[in-house]
Amino acid sequence: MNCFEARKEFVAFWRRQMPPLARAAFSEHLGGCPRCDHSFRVFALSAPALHSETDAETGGARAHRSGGLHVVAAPAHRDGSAPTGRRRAKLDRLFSWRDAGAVIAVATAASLALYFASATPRAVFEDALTGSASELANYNTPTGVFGQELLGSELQDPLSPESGLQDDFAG
Amino acid sequence: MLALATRMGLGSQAVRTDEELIAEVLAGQTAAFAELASRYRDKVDRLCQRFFSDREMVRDLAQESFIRAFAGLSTYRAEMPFGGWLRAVVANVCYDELRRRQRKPEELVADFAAAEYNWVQLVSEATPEEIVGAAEQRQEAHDLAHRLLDALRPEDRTIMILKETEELSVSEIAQTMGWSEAKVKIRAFRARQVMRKHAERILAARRAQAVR
Repeated sequence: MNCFEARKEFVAFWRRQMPPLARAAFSEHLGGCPRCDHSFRVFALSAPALHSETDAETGGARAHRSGGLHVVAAPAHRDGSAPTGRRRAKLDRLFSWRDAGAVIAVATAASLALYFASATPRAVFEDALTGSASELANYNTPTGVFGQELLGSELQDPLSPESGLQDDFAG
Repeated sequence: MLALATRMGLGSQAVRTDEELIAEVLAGQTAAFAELASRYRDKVDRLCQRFFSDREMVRDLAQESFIRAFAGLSTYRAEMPFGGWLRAVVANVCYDELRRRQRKPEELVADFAAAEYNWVQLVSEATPEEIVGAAEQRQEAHDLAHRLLDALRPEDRTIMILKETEELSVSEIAQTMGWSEAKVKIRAFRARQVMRKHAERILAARRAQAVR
């Protein structure tokens, strides 16, 4: 058996579809040909997924071996009652959305509660745009200027005696 | 006589063709689909298992495939065998699932489980006969091989599975998936390259560790 013939037989060898003599010839060739031997080992890493029997064919009795332990891979779904696998993933996604929705709802409610409970005047800018002339005039005073309420502090004339800032402006 | 007739009736039911069952389903006798499904259940399970190693997912995908087949049965045309049509449905369901998951190529070498490491060691050192014999019994061999498939893009993986396990031709894969033959050829070539590259890396990493 030469290299070309040997490489054509990888799948047949893996599936045990070769007659004994051809099988022996194949093994013998790989034993003496490092390149084909390496190629077969590369092939062997992916072959179980593509060329071996599936669980449906083997009855799901394949084993996990780790160290000295030999653990038969148990069916993942035992009682059939709980949603598992893809359905569970769907439910997980659903729950995560529910959680996110709850967080958003609580945050929105808290924001609204804070907003309406606040003692400071609101909608100052809208008032300024829609209010009467006297109201607009009020916004031009040092204590009614737009922004003061938002800052939450009394606006002081920097040059008034109460501000205590005269020294800074004295030059 | 009645018993004989009943038996004959049952006998004729047993040999009903797929097309006859499909006609019954389309005529409103939806129970006939159960027989159709039972005929193909194993094949559908096997194909799903080629795509995914997780048994629950396989079961769900098989179920979804039958649901989609039932819903789309009116689109089935008798020019092709029902098995081929159903295979296309299953392949597309699995392909959609691969795309939905949008798994990025995994770092295969970095996160071996101990069992997988032992399997790689065996593949590196044992004789070909020993490797084949061990692979039949070791779940980790299948897990690692599926992780190699995980490294492929959904299109590549679908093509590899249909080509290698279902042994479909390029034109059959193109017809099944609704892709061009050129795309199937190119993707099959690239898929093999990628899988080989990852397998080489795994074996090289194993050898490097053995040298140390």
